[in-house]
Amino acid sequence: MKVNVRLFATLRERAGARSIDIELPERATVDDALDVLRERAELTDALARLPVRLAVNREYVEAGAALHAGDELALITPVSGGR
Amino acid sequence: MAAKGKVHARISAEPLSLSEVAKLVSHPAAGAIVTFQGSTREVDRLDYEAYVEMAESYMRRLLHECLEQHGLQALAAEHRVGSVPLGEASVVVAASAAHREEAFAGARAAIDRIKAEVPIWKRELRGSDARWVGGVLP
Repeated sequence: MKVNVRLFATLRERAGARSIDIELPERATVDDALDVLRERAELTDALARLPVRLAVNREYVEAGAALHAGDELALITPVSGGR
Repeated sequence: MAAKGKVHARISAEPLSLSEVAKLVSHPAAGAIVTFQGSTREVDRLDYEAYVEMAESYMRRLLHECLEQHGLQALAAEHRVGSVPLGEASVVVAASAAHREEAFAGARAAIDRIKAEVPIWKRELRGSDARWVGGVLP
């Protein structure tokens, strides 16, 4: 199945794209998607260095969340923050 | 004039106005309006990037929660995206309530949660140097 991955900030710059499509087996989870993305050469270093929170169809999800064909998966690296 | 329980959230590429968001929360039942403005400081400019489709809806839900928790009359917040020059507002918040205690607490909760949870990133530019600022993981 195909899942659309949205990238922002550092990850967007590394990938040279705002969004990429990845192919996953049926019943894949967000963790499986992250494993696939870590193997893409342009994202390996950034994903090893940056923690990410995941969102599916514009809602934050926890580890192990299921993915379905056509889902939009977003990789959210630390946000602007400040104090 | 804001109906009781009104919430306003917006992501915008245009300059923000504190007086405009304050107007959005004003109400005859509100004895207190607290406003907050976050501004670009000590850099040439900041570039903000948002996951707009999620950021605006998430911010609206977050503001509803703050409004309920603090018993506010109304709550409004806007975040700018794109290039924000030194001294200009990157975020504005306005909270109205019957009394100042709730208005201060509600405005504080709203800005703290916006900065920690909404998918918006900032890149600092100083001369030719640019870097993404790592804040907090939502």
